[in-house]
Amino acid sequence: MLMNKTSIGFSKIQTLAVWMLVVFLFFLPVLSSDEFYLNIVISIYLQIILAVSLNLIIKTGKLSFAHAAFMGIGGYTSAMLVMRLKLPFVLCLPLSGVMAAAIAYVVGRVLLKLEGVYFVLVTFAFGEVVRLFFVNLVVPFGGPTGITNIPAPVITFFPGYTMTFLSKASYYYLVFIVMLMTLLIIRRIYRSAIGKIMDCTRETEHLAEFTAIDTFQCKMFAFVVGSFFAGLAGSLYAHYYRYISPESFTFWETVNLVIINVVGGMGGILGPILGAIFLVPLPEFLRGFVEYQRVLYGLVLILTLCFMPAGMLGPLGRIASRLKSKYMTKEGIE
Amino acid sequence: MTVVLQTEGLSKRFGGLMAVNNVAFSVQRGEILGIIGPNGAGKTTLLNLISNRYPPNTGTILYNGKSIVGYPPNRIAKMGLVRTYQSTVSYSGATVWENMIRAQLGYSFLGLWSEFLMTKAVREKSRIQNEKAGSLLRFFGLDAFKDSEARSLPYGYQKLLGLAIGFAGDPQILMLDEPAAGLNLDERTRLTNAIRTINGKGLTVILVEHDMKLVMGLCHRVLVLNYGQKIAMDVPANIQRDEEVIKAYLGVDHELA
Repeated sequence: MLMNKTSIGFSKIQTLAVWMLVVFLFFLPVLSSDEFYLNIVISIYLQIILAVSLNLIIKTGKLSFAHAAFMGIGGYTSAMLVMRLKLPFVLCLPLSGVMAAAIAYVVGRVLLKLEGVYFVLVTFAFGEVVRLFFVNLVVPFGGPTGITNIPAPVITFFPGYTMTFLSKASYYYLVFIVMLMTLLIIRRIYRSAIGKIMDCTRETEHLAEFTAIDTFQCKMFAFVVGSFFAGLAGSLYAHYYRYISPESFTFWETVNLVIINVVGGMGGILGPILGAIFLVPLPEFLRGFVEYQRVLYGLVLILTLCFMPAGMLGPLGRIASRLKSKYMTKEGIE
Repeated sequence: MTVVLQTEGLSKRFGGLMAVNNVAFSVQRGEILGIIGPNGAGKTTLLNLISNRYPPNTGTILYNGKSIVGYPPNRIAKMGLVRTYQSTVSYSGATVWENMIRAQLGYSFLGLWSEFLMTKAVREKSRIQNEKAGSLLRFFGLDAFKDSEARSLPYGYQKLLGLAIGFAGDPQILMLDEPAAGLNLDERTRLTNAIRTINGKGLTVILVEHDMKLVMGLCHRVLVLNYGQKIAMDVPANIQRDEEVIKAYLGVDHELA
């Protein structure tokens, strides 16, 4: 009884802390308008959307190396729709997600039948096919040079009031809101029966299958929804840098996302968030050593695997549970 | 007596080996059917064919008069034909309680959209699931281990947990793959009693087992396989006297006592 009460108390503190963090981040551009830092934070947010949506796919036991390709599909879709069809950005953003999800649905029906390393290899190949598709189709997609002069998003909030997301501060809010929605939706999935079913599928697929769990449907769901968010991130990326090329969405981008997941910890959405916060700024602060970025990432990866196999979440989780038990005993004495 | 499960001419070939060869048998509602046979006789393969872990090369499987060949395993389980495994019986990293919840998820899934929105029906369902998990744990004598990881359980209780997971979906037929393998006498008694009790509740049980004593004491009828072929199917008393069976187990030259 007492335990119950106090654990609710602790989770209340957690909720409060998260809300305070969200409010703080909301006012971040007001507190500091330094473009250098805002740019880093926006990159972190984009990587969080990507890494958490990849985590959704990993949660079903499937390691997709096509995640950056789906991001690319989203980016190109958005750029084409805005520039060629002159569709409003508010429509293009979700449509780029839908496009990625639709393609994920079609290829997923085949690819997700593959097991283990075969799936990894074929998603890698698929990612390359997508990249080469953009490289070779010069006419709509600009070939290897990509698409330049992608307009900044223009959103009409109500007739007569339009806003152009040209400044870093305004774009910050756009990415921030999409990231929050992504996190809320994926957290909700993880907490529902769907999340539990994903755990079953990943841990012991045949047992799940023989307790009436449709593991294929589960994997399809994660692959399609995960790719949807990758598509959204692609659209946000395209309109932020205002330039995309096939080189923006290579296999290595997915590798970075996997590293973010491994370093942060793959247990839930918190891991990839931590991983992105830790890893994305690293190359920015080591500008002089850009050519060593991969070496650095590799080093971080090896060190993590050696000393924190559960990622940053491992030791942090232990500290949190220690705090929790401390807090609970204190409460118990009172 | 009604027939709930029936196979006709069921065969499975692995390369040059006929693992299951033209097996026809039927299971009656409410009985405990034992499947025995020497090592490699095709007992587990037979279960794998019925639950469609892999499809048969030839033959039919009728469940309640309807062919289920080619159905995905999850659908077969949802129809009430559930099997357990010899080795991986539970989600080893999850707690016993979590295992009981997970065991029910597939049967009561209300669709992606409702589950995501956590509608009233979903909340009501998870309340029922919690209640059921509690009563299942009490029924199988596992409530003391509620918060333990499944892998930390004594071996006998792990097997019981596997049985509880199979039972959680309210199956019509429960197929158990060597549930007593590696158990000591105590654990074996506990398991036998559990099987007898769930059978008493009207559940049909198919039991693949090596332990003769257990099979003879528990089963209403016994199917004997040897080299993938059915060599006998009868009540235990007759099986023990069957010449073919004795030959399969003890060799040709054995003198009948």
